Amino acid sequence: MIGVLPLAFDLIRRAWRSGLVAAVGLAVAAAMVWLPTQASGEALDGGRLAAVWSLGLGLAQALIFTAVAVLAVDGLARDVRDGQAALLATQPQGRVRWWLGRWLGAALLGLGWLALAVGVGLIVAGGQVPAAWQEIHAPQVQPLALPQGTIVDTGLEGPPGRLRLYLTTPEGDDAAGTLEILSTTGARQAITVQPFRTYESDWPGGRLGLWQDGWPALVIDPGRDLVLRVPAGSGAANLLRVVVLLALQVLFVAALGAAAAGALRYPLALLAVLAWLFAAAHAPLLSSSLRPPGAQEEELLAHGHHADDGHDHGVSEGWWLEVLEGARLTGWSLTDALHRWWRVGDLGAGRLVPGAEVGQALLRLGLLQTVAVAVAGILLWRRRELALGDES
Amino acid sequence: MSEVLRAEGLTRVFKDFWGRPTVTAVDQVSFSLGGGEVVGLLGPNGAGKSTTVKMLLGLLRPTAGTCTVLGQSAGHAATQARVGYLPEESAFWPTLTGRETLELLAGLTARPSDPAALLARVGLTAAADRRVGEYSKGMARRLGLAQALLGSPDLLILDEPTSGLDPLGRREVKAMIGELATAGTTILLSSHLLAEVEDVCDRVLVLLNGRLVAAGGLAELLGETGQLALPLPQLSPEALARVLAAVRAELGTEIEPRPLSRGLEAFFLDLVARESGQ
Repeated sequence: MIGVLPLAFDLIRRAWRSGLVAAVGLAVAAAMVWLPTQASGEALDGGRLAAVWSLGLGLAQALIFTAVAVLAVDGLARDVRDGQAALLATQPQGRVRWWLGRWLGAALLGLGWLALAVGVGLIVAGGQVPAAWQEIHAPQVQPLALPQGTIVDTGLEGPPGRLRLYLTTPEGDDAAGTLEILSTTGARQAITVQPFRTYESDWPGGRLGLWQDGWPALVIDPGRDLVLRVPAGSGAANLLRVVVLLALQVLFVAALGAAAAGALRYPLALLAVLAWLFAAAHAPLLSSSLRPPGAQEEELLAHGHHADDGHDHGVSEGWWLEVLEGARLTGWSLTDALHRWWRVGDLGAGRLVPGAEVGQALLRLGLLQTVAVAVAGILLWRRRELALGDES
Repeated sequence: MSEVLRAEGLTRVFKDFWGRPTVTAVDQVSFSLGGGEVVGLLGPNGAGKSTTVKMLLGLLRPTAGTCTVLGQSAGHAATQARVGYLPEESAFWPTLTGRETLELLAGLTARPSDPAALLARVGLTAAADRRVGEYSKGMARRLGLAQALLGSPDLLILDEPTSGLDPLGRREVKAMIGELATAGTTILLSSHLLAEVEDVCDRVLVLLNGRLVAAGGLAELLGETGQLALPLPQLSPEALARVLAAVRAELGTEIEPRPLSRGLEAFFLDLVARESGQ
């Protein structure tokens, strides 16, 4: 394709000569080296190795995405603003290739920085990556009651690994008692426990039964408080899968930046993309903060049903809650491309990133969302009037 | 002479954010260019010259009317390869060298000319590896000319091509325009410098307030004043008196002889040529 590669390499060369490549590269390397050494308290729960891959790579990821977004916007917007558009638009390569060239340049730089981050991370971590574990939860959804002196089948089953549980008691009594961990393999282990604390124990494999002596009843939330962690492959493979997800996100962010530059004028385009990145990075936080105090999704749904029940409610007292919920869901879906595949924290924590999820990301993020944004961006770019000086 | 460019009823109305018309920059302009012609596009500031050029290049869409370039609609990718354009402002990437700039733009062209040869043609070989940000305005203009010639265009649109050039550069550009026209390149030259247009153009189009107010060949438009200039060599006072007496006898009126100045530009060019040993 005439024009795509020269324009891509031109963007990289400009970034190199302006010092951006080196500045971001240094910042990325510093994030991988320095941040993990500063971690303390809860941030160090998983050890220094986990901090390299969660904190270090997390900050590097934020830097890379921001730099790619700025570069992708800048590539096209600067051509227009500084007047080079008159030169490029009158060359025969066409606007599609022009757009693709700038997108590719930003994406290649992003991938280069990503490779640098992973390389520095491997050096700092001595080539080690936390081994991947898979979490298995009990199939029940209702809280599991453990009456005193009765063996309860939890339904949780899996190969050897580690068992983590958190116990509560309706009485609120936090006195110590005995808990026996029973396996269908015949192994059993008694530990002294107190409610309202998290316990971890080796798990020999099989199906889990629990027996307790000390309280009238204990309760476990099987979806959250009863987890079996079993080995699930090497850390290197997990790292590779996370890197593939990050690379797909880089391609998407570059496409989003170029699309914004094609549709909007310079400062607006940059502002829009940075706002999107901020929203995506904080999607879970924004999502929950937009939720009305104490209101659960079920309650909101119930409000919706009341409005349709045939009675005259006037202005529904819940309408604003629905607006907030709509905003929350809309914001969540708009930033889906980033927060859905945000797996750096899992890498540090050793949680398995399944191959199926990477495949899903390739289809959904790579083929669907990135291509959709690119097509929309190119269509807008082709319609854009590029008169010299109209951006100044 | 085959038709290279045709504009029919070309109109462009600029609008504000709310879509309300603010100014009609170009109003019902129609003209055509034949192969190998050199046509000047004249007009004061704000006459609509640049807007017309941008519509011919597909950078702006006409509000009404059509323009056909080399048989296709303006801005069509197939015709862009055959059109060279020198913008009014020399806007290049300041971090690239002149050579890199041409190589980049050559990479976007299907059949580019040799960048080194073009740099030599516009006199930039010595500065080829300097960053464009360090170029003088005249050097940037020369680079602009080189990029306009990259694809060996059939139609060349030059917007103020000699802006910022010294007299030597202006003379070179005028010579280059002549060579290109001789080789069959059609040239549309937009300029404020009327003497320059007069030197190189076959025809002129005059825009005023967005309307085409005059179009035609130079001889046709300028017409004749009914006066005759007769350059003579330096004469002795006696010889001059005899010539004046003969003319007075013929015309029956007094005439005042004036020394013929060669002009500052000719003086400057002679001086530069002499001092540089050319």
